[in-house]
Amino acid sequence: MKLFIAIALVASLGSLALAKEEEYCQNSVLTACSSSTFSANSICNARFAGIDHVEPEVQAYINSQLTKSYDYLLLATHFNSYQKNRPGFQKLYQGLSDRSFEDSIALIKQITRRGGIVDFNTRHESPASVSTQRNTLEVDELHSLALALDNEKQLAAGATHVHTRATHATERDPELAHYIEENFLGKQAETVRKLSGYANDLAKLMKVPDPSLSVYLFDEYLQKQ
Amino acid sequence: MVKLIASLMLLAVVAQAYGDFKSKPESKSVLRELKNEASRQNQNQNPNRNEKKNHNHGEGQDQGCKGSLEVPEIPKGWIDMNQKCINKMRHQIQEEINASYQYLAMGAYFARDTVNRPGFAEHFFTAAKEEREHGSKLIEYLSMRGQLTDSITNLITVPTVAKQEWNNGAAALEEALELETKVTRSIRDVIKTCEGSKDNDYHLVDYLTGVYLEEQLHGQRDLAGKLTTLKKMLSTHGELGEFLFDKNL
Repeated sequence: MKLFIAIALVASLGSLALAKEEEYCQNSVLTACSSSTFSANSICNARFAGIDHVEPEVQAYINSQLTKSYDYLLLATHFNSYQKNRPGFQKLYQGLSDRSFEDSIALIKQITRRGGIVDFNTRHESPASVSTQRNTLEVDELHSLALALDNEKQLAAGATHVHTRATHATERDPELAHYIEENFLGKQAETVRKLSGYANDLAKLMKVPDPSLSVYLFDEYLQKQ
Repeated sequence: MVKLIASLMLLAVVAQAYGDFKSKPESKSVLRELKNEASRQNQNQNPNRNEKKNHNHGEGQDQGCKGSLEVPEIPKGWIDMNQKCINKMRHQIQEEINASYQYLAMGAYFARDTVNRPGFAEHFFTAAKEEREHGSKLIEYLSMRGQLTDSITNLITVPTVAKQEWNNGAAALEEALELETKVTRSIRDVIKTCEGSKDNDYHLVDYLTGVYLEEQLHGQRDLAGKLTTLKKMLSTHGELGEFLFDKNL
């Protein structure tokens, strides 16, 4: 009887190991040594936890950041023309453009760190993505602040969505959630708050019949930020 | 009968909820709020100013917005760029952005865990930043010359990339070299157009030759050197060669 149980145990363990074989890199290495290369969809990669769920969201978010980075670049250009001539506003938007571009590269490094890839062409529909259809950027100073505030809130909502997917999908991904918290959400709250402050200040300053001096002074203030 | 009424009511509730859902994003936008307020204020407070605005409709860029200051008349003689040259410059800006995007895709590929060539990845990320910087500097140049007072929204379109995977490091370097050659040719084309006609744009041509071509030529030589070194090792020491080369890049 004991013998029978032992045999059954060994057999079941064996079958378990057989079933799990595909999921371990070690097993691929054995075959790789004989065939000199890993197969294309080998298990030997850096993917773990909920990467399958968050990868498309992060891809969409990278594309959003890149799109916004060009929007901001053009907005900065608008205020750099001799007719606008607002170096403070230009500095603000150039800064946001550079930040979005740097953040895109940081996100690419993060997603590839986790074994993910980046697809620059497919526009995956996700709450983390933004429209590539561009609204007119030839707006006045106050409207540009409102536009930037809307943009920043969109980007913050996108990061929040990635975070939600990382924490609530069937397979969770605390590493990615932590990354988003540490590198995006805090910074974004800061920027949103700053822009809201600017927009409300300028709106108050412009409640005069001729706001030209208000805008001039506000631009001077922005230059020093 | 009861069932029919019940289903009708359900339909009505769903329709209402859908309507709420659709109108929600609109009310969230600060920009929209601002516009509504602006139009209200224009109508109530300042009927005279509003009238004047409408009169000048064609000239101002920010029509009817609260806070848009009118652009005063100043002499325009100093704005002397040739339209053909401007168009070429605008095209060149997009070219630089496209190149930047392509480099970004290369960086992303070599940063993959299963490719694992951090040296290549970093090299391409740096190149992507440089190309973007080039585009940005050309934009600044046009602003300096009195351009880009309008048609800014369509100056840059977000590009797509032709390729996102490469066979090996050498293939990517080869493509990078070809990309640089294409950009160089395109800059030469801008130079030709801008110096060609009777109004030679001396300053722009000098700038493009002295700064842009200078950088392009040095960049090409650098890439050609790297590619040659890598290719020497490719036939007999392919994998090991690329592995070592990457660590020194």
